[in-house]
Parts: sequence; structure tokens; C-alpha cells
Amino acid sequence: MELVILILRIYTIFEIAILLIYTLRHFVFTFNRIFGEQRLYYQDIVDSDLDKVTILVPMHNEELVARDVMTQLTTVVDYPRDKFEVIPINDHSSDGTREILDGFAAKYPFIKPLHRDEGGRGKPHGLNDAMDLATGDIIIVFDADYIPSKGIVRDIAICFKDQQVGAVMGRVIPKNTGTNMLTRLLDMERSGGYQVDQQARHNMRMVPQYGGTVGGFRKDVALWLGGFNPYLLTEDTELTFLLFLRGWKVVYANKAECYEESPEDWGVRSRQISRWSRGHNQVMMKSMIPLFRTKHLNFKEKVDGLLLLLIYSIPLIMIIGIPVSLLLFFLGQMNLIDMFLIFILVAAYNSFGNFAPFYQIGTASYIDGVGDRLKLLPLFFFGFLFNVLYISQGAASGMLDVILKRNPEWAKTTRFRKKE
Amino acid sequence: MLSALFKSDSSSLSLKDPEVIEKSQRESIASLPENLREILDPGSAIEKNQIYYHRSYRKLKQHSLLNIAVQVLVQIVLIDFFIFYYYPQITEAISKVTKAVLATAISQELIEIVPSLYIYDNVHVVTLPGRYPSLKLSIIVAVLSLTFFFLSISLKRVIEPKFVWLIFISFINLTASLFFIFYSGYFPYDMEVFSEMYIKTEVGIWIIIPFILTIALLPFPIKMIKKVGVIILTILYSMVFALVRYIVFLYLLRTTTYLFMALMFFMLGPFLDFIYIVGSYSLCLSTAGKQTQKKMELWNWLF
Repeated sequence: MELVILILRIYTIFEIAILLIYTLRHFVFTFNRIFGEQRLYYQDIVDSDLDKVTILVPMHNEELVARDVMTQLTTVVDYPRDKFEVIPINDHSSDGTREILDGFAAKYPFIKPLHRDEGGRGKPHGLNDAMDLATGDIIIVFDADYIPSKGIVRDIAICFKDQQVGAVMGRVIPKNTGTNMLTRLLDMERSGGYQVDQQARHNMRMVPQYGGTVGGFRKDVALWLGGFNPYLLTEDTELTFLLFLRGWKVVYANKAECYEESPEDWGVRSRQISRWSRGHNQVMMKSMIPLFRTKHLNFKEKVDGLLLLLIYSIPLIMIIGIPVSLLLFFLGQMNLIDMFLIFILVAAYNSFGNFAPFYQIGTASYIDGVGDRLKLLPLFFFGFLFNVLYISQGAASGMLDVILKRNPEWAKTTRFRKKE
Repeated sequence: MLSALFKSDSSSLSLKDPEVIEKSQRESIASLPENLREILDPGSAIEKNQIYYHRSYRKLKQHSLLNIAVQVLVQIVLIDFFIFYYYPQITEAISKVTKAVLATAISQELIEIVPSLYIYDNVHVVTLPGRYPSLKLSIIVAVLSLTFFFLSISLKRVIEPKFVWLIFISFINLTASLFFIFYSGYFPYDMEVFSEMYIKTEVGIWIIIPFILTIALLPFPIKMIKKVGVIILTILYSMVFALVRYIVFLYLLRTTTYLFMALMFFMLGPFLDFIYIVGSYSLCLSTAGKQTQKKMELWNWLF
């Protein structure tokens, strides 16, 4: 019995140590963002010789949102038309997406829809096929529910003037924030993730992440890397690590803002975070050893890369910790120190399971100028176990995918935009 | 300085000119849902009297080391000194009130206040005889918890946050009831041990609150008097909340048995304390945010 207690205690200490490391990490990020010197991207470069850009917009049954994103790209986005093409990827849609895209293509010659009715479905498949057709040197991806702003293509494309830059990530801002409690909380979570987390990692020359949308990458590099693995659910995380492991840099452009539609119900949210977690952990299983071996990253970047890779495994560690704590309780091992540890653990666990401690979200929201909505911060508590459950589910699936060599199917995020 | 007065920002200057907007653009925008038009419609640009730093790279001015030292001294050292000095008396007061309230429902002879050493002095805790659950109660709770647990999981729909919490509660109750069905005699705690752990944890939380709130609020340009006020109010709330929970816990443990001790321990203990600490932080920051957003002297750009 003593051995069992010892193992349980070691696990608890391991769990707390991991959570404290993440708390410290986010503390450093937060203070860097609020007090540190901010590192710009390349928006101040003025160059008339802009690279040719291909915009890819993956779509599967996106009739609710397709018209909006295409309208933005055709009438608002500001980039020389001779160096600009848009390839909306109609990926096995069975709704009116095809007709919408064809309508735009008839009107604008730089719109070149790719209708995919055969072959595997999913974003990586679509991106691979579209890259074969793309004539641009730079690929910029927008998800179908995004609303690109006027200067965003130039802002992202100009970064590639630096030959070390392999990918660029812009900032995602929810548009439907006021819809309900979930969207309000997601807005603050997004704020913490971009305004503080990504910008601090960019400031500190660590590992900012390419997020798969509102971002771009070099086409030739992506093709040289073999394109996207169609069986990984987070092609963005995969590309981030493939680039860093080969000596390329990822730039975070905090001013390159783009509006998105965030999930409006918990069902969609659960599938989204579960998919992110599954894909992220697939990449974690594949990238962990190369991360240690690569000579292209310094110690600081390796540590940050490791913590980034592990981030979606934390809820799994935590969910295993629940029965461990219960066992310790019934074995009479729950003393005062454990009570404190539990408290710290909860406090440390990134304030309610969303990878951003309360002070990180608070700081980000303060910088963003959020007022009354900040009062909702304690409500993240109610999503705590929800996040832990679905991220753990995704994490376990992702790890098993790699071990059992399974090929998961791509799942599309449901849209909520109203039809008019 | 970038805050120089302008009639309008550069983007609105060009966008407001109707000649710049092609007819097709306007038609496309008009066809959009209403909630998107405000973003896309160049005509909706607002004339600004002053341009503030864009959110992307603004930051706050760094505090001097002296300022940080004073904040730490006043908000942590001084407040914690009072807590360290008075916690024996505070816990004694809490225990006396708890005893008085419980005495209205439970025989007064059964309730005692006992001292227990903590840090350098005694805390005072309430003790009273506890009760073990009957086999029947344990089985009923086990069956109910198991049923709910598997029903929730087998329902092939998304489990919303409230259901996730209920599943968690069911899981704790299931574990506890199985323990009492098979190992009832081995339950390692009694009311006194529970009381000690609870009160000592709460004292620990009062000590930690100044640390958490001082560090979390450190970057923000909020007057120290306000920060001290927030910390003291949070500690006072914590004391009152600790008292209320203490009374409820002891009453429930006495009437419903030790079966639910694990639930109180894991769900309603320090777990709940963190919510109001974050609540205090968010209230303070929300108020400060509204007051300071447009005070240009508080913000820096890039450096």
C-alpha cells in the first residue's frame, strides 16, 4: 500500500510541477506584453515590388458565409490585382457554395474556384490541391467565416521580404462577441491568446504559432516540405514545427487583424477544441524528438516549443489527477499541504482550463480596451471541466492516432451566420 | 506625440470620399447581413477628434522599483502581518458563531471548540460527533450516481458545462459511496480533522489573497488605496464566506453523514475560493480599464 501511496504522491507532485511551470510561463508572457519592448512585424516596409499572392479559402458547405468573405476579397481587400488571385476551395460541398463561387468567378477574373468533388475531403487535402494550381509565391489562407480587412493581405505578404520568414500569423478577433455568454468568453480567451501570448512569444523571439487562417506561408517551402499531411487535424501546428525545425521563422503580426465567427453553442465548441487537441497531440507525438535534435533552435526556443507542444496534454494529465486525488483522500493522505496544492493547482491551471491564466486574459482585455465584459472573467470557471473533458478526449485520440496509425476524418465547424 | 489632434484618421479620409467607392462595392456591401455592414461599409467611418494608440502595440508605463517595493510592503507585508497577528482571534470568532448557529439545530453539549496549532499559534475549530452512512444510504447514492454517470456518458450528445459538473459530482459521490459500502470502517477522517483542514486552509487562503491580487494588479495604473481596498474587501468576503460554508458543511456532515465529505472537500472547498478572488480582480480591472483607457499619459507605444 505504501508503494501505491508513493506513486500517487509522485503523480500529484508531477502534475503540480507541470502546472506551476505553465503558470510561470504565462506570468512571464503577461509581464512582457504589458511592460516589455514590443516587437513589430514588417508593416513599415514600403516596397512597390510586392510578391504575387494566392489567397486560399477552404470551404465545405459554406453557403451561409461564402458570399461575405468573397465580397471582402473582391471589393475591400487592397492589393495590386495583377499580383493577386483567390482560389476558393469548394471541398465536396452539397449546398449552394459552388454557385456562389462561380458567380464571383464570372465577375472577377482573379477568382479561380477549385471545385473538389473527388478525392479525400478536408482542409489539408484542399490546400494541397490548391497549391498545385496557385501561381502566387505566397499563400495566404482565410477560413470561410472570416472577414479580411482592407490592408491585411499586404500586411502579411510584406513580411516575406525577410528571407528567413517561412510563415506569418495575423490576429483573430471574434465578430459575434455579443451573441451569448459563450461568445463573450471566447472573445476574451482569444484576446489572451493573441494580444498577450502570441505577441509575447514574438517579442521574446520564441515560437509564435502559425494558426492556419489569417496567415500565410511560402508556397515553395510548403511544397518542399511535402505539402500538408491530410491525416493531421491541425495542419497549422504541423507547419509551424516543420518550419522551425528547419530553421525558418514564424512572424506574428498583431496589427493584421481579421474578424471571425466564433462558436455560438457548446456542442460546436466541444467539437472544435476536441479537434484542435487531437490534431495538436498528433503533431506533438511526431515533433517531440525532432525538436530536441534540431540544431536550428536555441535552448529558449526549444523550451517554448516543448511547452507549446505539450499544452493540449495538460488537461489529460489533469483528468487523470482527479481519481488520483480521490484515492489519496480515501487513503487518508489528504493533509493540509495537499489542500494548498489543490488550491494552487486550480489557480495554476491556467484559470479554468483555457490555457490562459486569469491575469493573462485580464491584461489582454485591458490592453484591448474591454470594459464591462471583463467582469465575466470568473465565469470561465463554469467551462473549466468542460474544457478539461473535451481537450482530454481529443488528446487521447490524437496520441492513439499516432500509436495505432489511425487516419482521422476532418470535421467542419458549424457556422451560425444568419441567411438574409 | 502621436496623440496630436486630427480631424479624422487617415483611413477615414480616403474612405469617406464617395468617389473612391465604386458602385459595385456599395452594392456588394448593401447585400451583406446587417451585422457585417458596419465593418465593411467605408461610409460608416467615424470622425475622430483624437487618435489613441492602436491596441496592437500599446503598453503601460513601467513602475519604478520604489513603487513596486511600496506596493509589496503595503499590500502584502502589512496586510499579511495583520492576518498573522489576528488569525487565532478570527478563527475563534468564526468557531463561536458556528457553534452558536449549530446549537439551534444540534444539542449544544455535543459541540466543542478546540485549539489546534497552526504556523505559530492555535486556530480554533468546532468539533462534534459525526455519523457514518448506513449501508442502505451508500447503496442508494451509488446506484443514483452510477445511473446518472452512465446515462450522461451514453447519451450521444454534447455534454454541456452544467452536465459535466454533475458528472464530476456523480463520480465523487460514486467513489465515496463505494468506499463506504466496502471499507466503511477505514474512513480516515472525523469531524475534528475535517474542521482543522478546513479552517487552516481558509487561513492559508487569507494569507495568499494579498499575494495573488498584488501580483495580478501590479501592472495597472490603479491607486494603491484602491488596491488595498480590493484586497481587504476580498479577505473580508472570504472570511464571511468561510464562516457560512463552515456552518453549512458541519451541519450537512452531521445530518447527512461523512458520505458527502469528499464532495465538500473537492467541490466546495478551496476550489470555490478562487472564483471570488478572480471576481475581485475582474471588478477592479474592469473599473480601472474604463477610467484609464483614454488617459494617454498612462500608455506607451512600443517601448
